[in-house]
Amino acid sequence: MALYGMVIDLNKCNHCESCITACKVENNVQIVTKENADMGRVMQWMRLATTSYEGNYPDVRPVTMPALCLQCDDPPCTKVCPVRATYRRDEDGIVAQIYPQCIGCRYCMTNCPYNVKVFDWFKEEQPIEYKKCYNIDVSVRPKGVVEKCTFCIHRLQKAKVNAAAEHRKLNEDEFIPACAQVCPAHAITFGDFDDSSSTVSKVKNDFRRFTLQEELGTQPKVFYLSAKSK
Amino acid sequence: VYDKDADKSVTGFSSIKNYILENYYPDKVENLTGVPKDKILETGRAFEKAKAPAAYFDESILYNSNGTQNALSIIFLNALKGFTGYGKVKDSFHSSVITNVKSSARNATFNTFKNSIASKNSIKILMISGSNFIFNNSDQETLKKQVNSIPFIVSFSSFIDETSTYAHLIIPDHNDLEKLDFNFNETIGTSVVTVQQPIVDPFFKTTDTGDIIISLMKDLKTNSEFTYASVAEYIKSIAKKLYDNRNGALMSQNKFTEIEKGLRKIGWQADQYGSFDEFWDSLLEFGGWWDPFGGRDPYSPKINFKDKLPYPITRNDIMDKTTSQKKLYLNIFRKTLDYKGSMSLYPVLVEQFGHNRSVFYKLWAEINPETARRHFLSDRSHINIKTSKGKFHAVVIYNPSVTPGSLDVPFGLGHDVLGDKSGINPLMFSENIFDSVSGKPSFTETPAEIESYT
Repeated sequence: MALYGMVIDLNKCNHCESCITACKVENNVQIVTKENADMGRVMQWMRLATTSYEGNYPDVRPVTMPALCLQCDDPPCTKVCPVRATYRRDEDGIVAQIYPQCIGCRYCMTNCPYNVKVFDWFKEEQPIEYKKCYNIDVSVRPKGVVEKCTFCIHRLQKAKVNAAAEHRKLNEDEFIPACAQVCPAHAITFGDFDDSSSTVSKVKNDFRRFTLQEELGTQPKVFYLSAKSK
Repeated sequence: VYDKDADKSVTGFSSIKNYILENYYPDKVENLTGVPKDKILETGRAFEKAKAPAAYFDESILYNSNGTQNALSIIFLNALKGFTGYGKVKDSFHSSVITNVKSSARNATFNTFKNSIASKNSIKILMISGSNFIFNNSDQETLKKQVNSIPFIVSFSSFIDETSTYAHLIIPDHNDLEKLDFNFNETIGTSVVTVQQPIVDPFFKTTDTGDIIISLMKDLKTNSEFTYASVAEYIKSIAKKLYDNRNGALMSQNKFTEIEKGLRKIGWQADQYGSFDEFWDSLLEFGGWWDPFGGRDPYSPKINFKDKLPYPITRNDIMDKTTSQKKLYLNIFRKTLDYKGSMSLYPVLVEQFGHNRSVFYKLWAEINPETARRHFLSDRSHINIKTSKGKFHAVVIYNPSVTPGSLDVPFGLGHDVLGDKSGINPLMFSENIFDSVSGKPSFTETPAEIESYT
């Protein structure tokens, strides 16, 4: 059994947005039209959120953080899904989505306190360059379903199959989401929290650790590190 | 407070010192910039007390009518401490690789080019690579007319952009994600080489501009020392030099222990590669190479300020702008990853040009909340910004880090050559103010007014 999680060091993050681009391309997240963007329908599984500003002018620093599904261990979104299209996987703790099962009621979006789920309003014609980038390991979702970060679960499936074929256990570095892989500042650490020797377990014990809206008891598995902002 | 030897490296030191003391004392600078004088003094003292301070600037300070002077003032600040934070790389790797650059090319500015196209018939062939200078300028109409009169224009742009539409021949280059390239940097006193490697195969039938130039050299039978068959071969030859030198380390190698450092100093090697092929693969994997062990010579450039004091052009309407209650100014800024202003042309990046999930594909104006309230503007409200060249639409976004009295608008939107215009290029509404030395347009000095959006 594993318990996958992520630690994002905000003191290392330089807001380059590489993680956001990687996520978009890796997961075939669609680009919407201007008209839909105006209606707040831009689809990003990961975004750079400005949460607040610290200090007084001229010593002001925006507090920004990469925001993604926090893969709660006690997820409020799964509890309201009438068709169990979203659920927490027992074997690795990832909160998954079953797209063909989703009826598009968006209760899960409403119940997510972190506002990280997006809805596929329309199927739009994608730019030719983007179509050529499509990742064949990830299904292109139909319209009318809810989407969110899955910790690049398709990579886990692939790594598991490879490990099983070679009759061995999965190594720590065999499964890493696209965002963590591309981060040039090594601000994103990913791994198994259940393995006390894993890098992510060690990083998680940093004194700068905090998570979002801890008081809700959702037990997120994405933690942030910051010396200043909590 | 300055280094006792500062006058040795700076000619005209005493006159410039007096000039600064007379004209830019802390109270006045506080008025001009909005930065409290205590903060200025505190920073100055910290700089003075530091063992090896170094002040850097980025391209943004150059986009001003005083752009070159801005850069000179930072250089002068370093000179006050004898450039102790800098160092000259011993046996410079860069100079051993890059040779024979003509001094005329080194000293060329955009002004040189503007003057050339202004005098008719002086340019017979124009080859444009990595530049969209029509889009990047405020006086676009004049440039368009002048460029139109050039007999033959070749563009190497990966996209159809505002400048390449004037080309007679377009030979599209690979874009940054498809291209292999090396970048050198020695400004921090350490040799750094970063590798830009292709992460996807070219989507279209594009060609590396360097390969075009090489084939052109062959066709013209130029008697050049450059004998490489392709850019890739040339880049690999540079990597071979790095490998043969056996200095430095790959970027993301683990930190060296003190013992390893000591062994290296006496000539031992602690590399993680055994052959050039292995080194090349690792170089691509880690993205770069640097030489943290390389020796440094002291850096003491001779600067001559005699007869050319960095005398800023003082415009009365700009003075005290930060304290003004009514006046507003456009401040055009570039997003971190978009110095070329082309990010919104990339399909995958187009939505990343937006602002925090609420404003996409359209221009926004970041305004200090106090300034906004003074003009009765709420967050996310819509306004028209009016300048002497016309008015344009923007969405207000509160940002307390923005200078009061400033309307911060992003640069990079408003590419309309493909017929699908997203947002507005604010430079089209910016006054024709340029740095007299470099020719770069000013991004910060256009007076503006706010009108209600209907």
